[in-house]
Amino acid sequence: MVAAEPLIEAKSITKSFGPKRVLQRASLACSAGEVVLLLGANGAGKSTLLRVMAGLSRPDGGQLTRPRAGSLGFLSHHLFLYSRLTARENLRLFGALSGVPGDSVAAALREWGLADVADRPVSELSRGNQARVGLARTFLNAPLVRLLDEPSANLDDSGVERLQRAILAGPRSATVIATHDLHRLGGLATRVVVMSQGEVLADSGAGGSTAEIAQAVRAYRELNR
Amino acid sequence: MKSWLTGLGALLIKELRLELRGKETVTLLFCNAILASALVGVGTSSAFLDRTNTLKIFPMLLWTLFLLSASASAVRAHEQELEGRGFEGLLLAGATSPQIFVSKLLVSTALFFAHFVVLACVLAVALDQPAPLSVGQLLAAGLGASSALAAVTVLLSAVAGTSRMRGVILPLLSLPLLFPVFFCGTEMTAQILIVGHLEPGAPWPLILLCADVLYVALGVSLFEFALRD
Repeated sequence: MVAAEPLIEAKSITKSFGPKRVLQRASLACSAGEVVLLLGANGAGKSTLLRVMAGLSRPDGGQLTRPRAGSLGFLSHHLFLYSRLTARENLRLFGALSGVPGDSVAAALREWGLADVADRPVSELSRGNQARVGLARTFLNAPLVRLLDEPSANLDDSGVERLQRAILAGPRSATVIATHDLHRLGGLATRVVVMSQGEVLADSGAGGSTAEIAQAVRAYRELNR
Repeated sequence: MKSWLTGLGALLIKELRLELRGKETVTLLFCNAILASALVGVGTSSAFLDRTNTLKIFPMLLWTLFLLSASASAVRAHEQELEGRGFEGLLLAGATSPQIFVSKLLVSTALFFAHFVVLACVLAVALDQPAPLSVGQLLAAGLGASSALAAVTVLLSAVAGTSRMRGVILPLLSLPLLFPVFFCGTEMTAQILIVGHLEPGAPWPLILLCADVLYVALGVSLFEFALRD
């Protein structure tokens, strides 16, 4: 079987902040239909790798292949929202920039359970609803590549259900999820990659079997002991 | 081109909404204009300057106050982008750095120009000066200077934005670049107020236009480096 061409690929990425090397020749590729779970302890370099892959941080070395701007959805610890604008105004702004029609914004607000709070400034929303607005922004233009850094943080069970539906609704998309929430998001993974100290330590591989995924998860749990 | 303009329109609406919700820059600019004019008015009246002598120092006072208060207020320009790192969301959504720069430039130019008009009026009242004959020429000088000032401060506020000393760094970086604007503005205002109109062949409008073109071109080409780490 010929492996599908990756939609996004980072090869031997290195990145330092001052004297601290955060990524050491880290590589990660994700193809259409794949949901990659990126695991690792705090400070392992997951968030930095995702920022580099999103094009928001320049790597010191390595190669990056990614889709054009507008085809990539990225959720990070920062929600990339304007706190003084309402949820609806934020989504309209990002929608207008990526060519999404206005009625899709209304649909996204309903989909993420935000219809009742859509006209309140983001700063006045609960953390959970702010996270939902961030996710609605990320998925608004049905991006080809979705990079999600701790997407279940601050979400209640209903929010996580919506997140799972959104991820599964894009079968031709490539999704990378950096998370510690194996309990709620583990079931989505088609592949598991474990990072430690800026390097990829274990990778169940594209199209890996359940046993290979379980082995990678075990490697992560070993690290966390 | 159409999608570029649609994106620019969305960014302009965002800039205006953010400013109208907080009104921080407008309030700071207008309070600075009124307070500084009142202080200068009291200061000059205690110096017993007659109206003719006050007229001679009016252009210098106007442009000093304008550039100082506007560059000190401009530090707010990038803070809202950093709060939730909204600008990164803009880049991810496909907005280009020149689009973001131009939207900020247009809104800042409008704010600075309004500040210039208010400052000129309040200072003229404080110093008991008559309205100039060529109001249009003075407004054109104010608009040209506002746009150069906006280009410099939008670029530099993105550079200085992540520093805890941005309130100090921004005026320090921007004021030397604004010397040409200061000289042009002062000379043009002096001619407009004292002679009654701009003298034909005076180099100042051309120098101001060149400063405008240079700073806007620098902003458009360098803004991306200021936005990305």
